[in-house]
Amino acid sequence: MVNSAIQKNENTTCTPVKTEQSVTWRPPVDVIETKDEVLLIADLPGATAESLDIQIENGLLTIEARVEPRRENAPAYLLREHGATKFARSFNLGDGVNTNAISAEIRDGKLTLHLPKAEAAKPRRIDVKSA
Amino acid sequence: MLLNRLSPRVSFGRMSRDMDRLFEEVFGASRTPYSRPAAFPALNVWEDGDAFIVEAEVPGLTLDNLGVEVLGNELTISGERKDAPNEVTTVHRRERNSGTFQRTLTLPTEINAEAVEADLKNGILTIRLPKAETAKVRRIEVKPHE
Repeated sequence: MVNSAIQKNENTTCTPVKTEQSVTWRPPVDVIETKDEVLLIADLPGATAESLDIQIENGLLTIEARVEPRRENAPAYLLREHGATKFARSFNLGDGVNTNAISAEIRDGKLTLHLPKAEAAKPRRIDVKSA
Repeated sequence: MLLNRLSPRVSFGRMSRDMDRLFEEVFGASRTPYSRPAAFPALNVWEDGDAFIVEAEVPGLTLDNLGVEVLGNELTISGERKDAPNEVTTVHRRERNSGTFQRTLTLPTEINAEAVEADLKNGILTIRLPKAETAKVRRIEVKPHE
């Protein structure tokens, strides 16, 4: 059920949501799991460490970034394919993530979130003793 | 060519039940639409007097892996985006484009290639392309008939 709901949303045609002053975009992300952590990489062009707001509350991870307009007056565009004033996306984290040890860095408009796995979620090697 | 890696549908097909519990996207009532531009990088282009300004979104790219070329009235932005974390065990989502890309834009007039300036900041590449002298608007003085 959850998967089909997500798929339905993922395939929606991309159009910016226009409110009075802001355009909010849902940034593309990669979610990659390694042995010890889950990496979330998000494209947030124009965002800086100061403009980012990352919160975790009751297992809900919310990433928000405000992007300051780079011009006071909107020019007459010959081509317009971007123009977000805000990026926002949320994820539910399961018990497998140690939410106390999450760290984040942003560089060149690319956010990397490190979500360490809880001890219980790490792969464990079972030693087999010979009898 | 830009490689659009796994489509969301494919990557979701690979998502395991375990991962559903570990990491699951939330869609509230105020969900926002997906923002994947038709081509990479997404561009804004406008005219500023005697120049064109092109603003490209190139998150994660640095000057080392970006190329900007101008020929006549064509601008080409190319590069390669690589992300290779070590010891990947599972890829749960791959929505970000990766690989090599090239995008060519035809501008309305010839460009003075010598005077093109480019600036990269926080994943935004801004290119100022002054029009060639031959393409600038010239005001013709009209003298009154004596």
